[in-house]
Amino acid sequence: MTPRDRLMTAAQLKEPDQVPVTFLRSSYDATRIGLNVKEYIFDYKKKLSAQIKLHERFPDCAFVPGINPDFGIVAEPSGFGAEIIYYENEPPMNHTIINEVEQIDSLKVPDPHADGLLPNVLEAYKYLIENTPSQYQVDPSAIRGPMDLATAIRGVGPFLSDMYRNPEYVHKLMDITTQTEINFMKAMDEIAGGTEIIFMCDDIPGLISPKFFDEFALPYMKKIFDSFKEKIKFYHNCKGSMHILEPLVETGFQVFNFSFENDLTETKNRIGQKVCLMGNVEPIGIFRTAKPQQIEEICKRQIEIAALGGAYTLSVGAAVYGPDSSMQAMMNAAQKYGKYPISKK
Amino acid sequence: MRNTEKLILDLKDAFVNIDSTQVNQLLKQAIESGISPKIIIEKAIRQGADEVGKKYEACEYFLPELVMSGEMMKEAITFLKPKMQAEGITSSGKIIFGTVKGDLHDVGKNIVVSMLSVAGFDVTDLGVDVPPEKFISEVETKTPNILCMSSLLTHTMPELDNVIEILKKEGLREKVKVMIGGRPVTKDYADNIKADSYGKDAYEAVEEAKRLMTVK
Repeated sequence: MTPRDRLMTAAQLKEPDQVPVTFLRSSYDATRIGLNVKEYIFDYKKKLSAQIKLHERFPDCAFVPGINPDFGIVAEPSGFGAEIIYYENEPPMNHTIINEVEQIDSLKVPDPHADGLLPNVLEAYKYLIENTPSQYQVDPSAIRGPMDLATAIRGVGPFLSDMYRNPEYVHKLMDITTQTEINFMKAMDEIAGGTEIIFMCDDIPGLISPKFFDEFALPYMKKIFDSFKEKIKFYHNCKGSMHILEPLVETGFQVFNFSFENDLTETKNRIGQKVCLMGNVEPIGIFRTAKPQQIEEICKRQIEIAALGGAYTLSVGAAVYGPDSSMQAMMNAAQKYGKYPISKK
Repeated sequence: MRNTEKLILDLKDAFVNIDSTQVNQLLKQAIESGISPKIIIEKAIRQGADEVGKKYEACEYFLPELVMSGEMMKEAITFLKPKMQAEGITSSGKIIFGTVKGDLHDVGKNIVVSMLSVAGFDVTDLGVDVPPEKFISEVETKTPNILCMSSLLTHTMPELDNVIEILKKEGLREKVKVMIGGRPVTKDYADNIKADSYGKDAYEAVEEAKRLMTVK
């Protein structure tokens, strides 16, 4: 099986030949080879080359999204006119645009063919589809979750206090960001003539209470996933989510890239029969700094806890990579300890 | 229970229940009843904020409640400041606070600013993405006791060191104590760049600020 086939098999709650190893793709594709991030974003040839290099270095890993336009987290905010800040070696960020909550009344859903960097993403996607060698999977960009996008343009603090002070505006803004993501995803679908996956990155819901999640996040996330029923749906949230595990699953995703802050055993027990778990090795203290042997041992333990019966892929519990030695250690663990059938210990 | 005691209790409860409208109404009533702003802050606002903090640690409250707690503290201090000045209540110390250049995060910083204000410090919040020259000019012109800087991104952490180095070059380093904080920042890092203090969270930041005021 290819790494992608393994991942898709696990995503369907089945046992592949071996536990997959999967990473959420990011601009670290660029920084690990010394490529400036802004250059990586706008030079499509260099972007493709950097992404292929990662596949060549780690042929047994799945990277998801696969080869993809990858403008980081700023594409959708730019569609609203947000000013973008570019860094040499880090993903770009954006300034907020909504200072007074009443500005939401005049906010419009961006046109993915005309506004901000969104047309650039579509252009990059077309380039990648036409120029990527056939052995590599091309996917649409990851999209932001509606709450992450809302906080990107309103500000995290103001948006969270709006939940108490201006709940009607929270709903208005969530309606707009939800439609933004649906339109963006559909525009990418049009370019490709249909896509296999949708990948949503959405941390903020992990920071709010179950009551606020049910009111302000769940219906909007569900609307996005319901709009793309035929796709395999991935969801990334690297904040602790033990308090909202079951409501999260109700939104409709099939693969959960979850936080290192989550308890793996409890997460598997509570939702591991309903969704494929992707994670959750600690990204900094362990994955970036521990010795390969220690990482292998930790991955072995992860497999023992979560891989029985399938529906699991090894990964880190955050949107980062590690040094090559750490990524190799994770793959070694999958090869040594992750061949199916896996017996119960 | 006396009326004033009940009023203070009701105000604290409103704070803990994150009812900002009720908090603002009861603040006015408390002042009109002649209760000292110092008592209001210590018995209602600070104790209310402490209880919110405990509920957050117990996973009953989450980040929206902490943000609201910070905002209600800020609103209370703004409302009470003229009364405090009229009563001759002096500040515990002067603090300049900002998130460093290139970093737009402010949620944690805003909560710390509010906690320091409630603890009696006079805090000037420079906001986010603050260039080093702005920190330096504020230290020069406002002569604060403490300069607080936060960095939430690993790649903006070097700005903390950069500001300290510029303070040295400008002959200002001995005139101000420097406290740093933010998620990736550690005590080891603070020691390495010769900051005077490190605050792991809002509560520790307040205790450290008080300690720095006693250090020559």
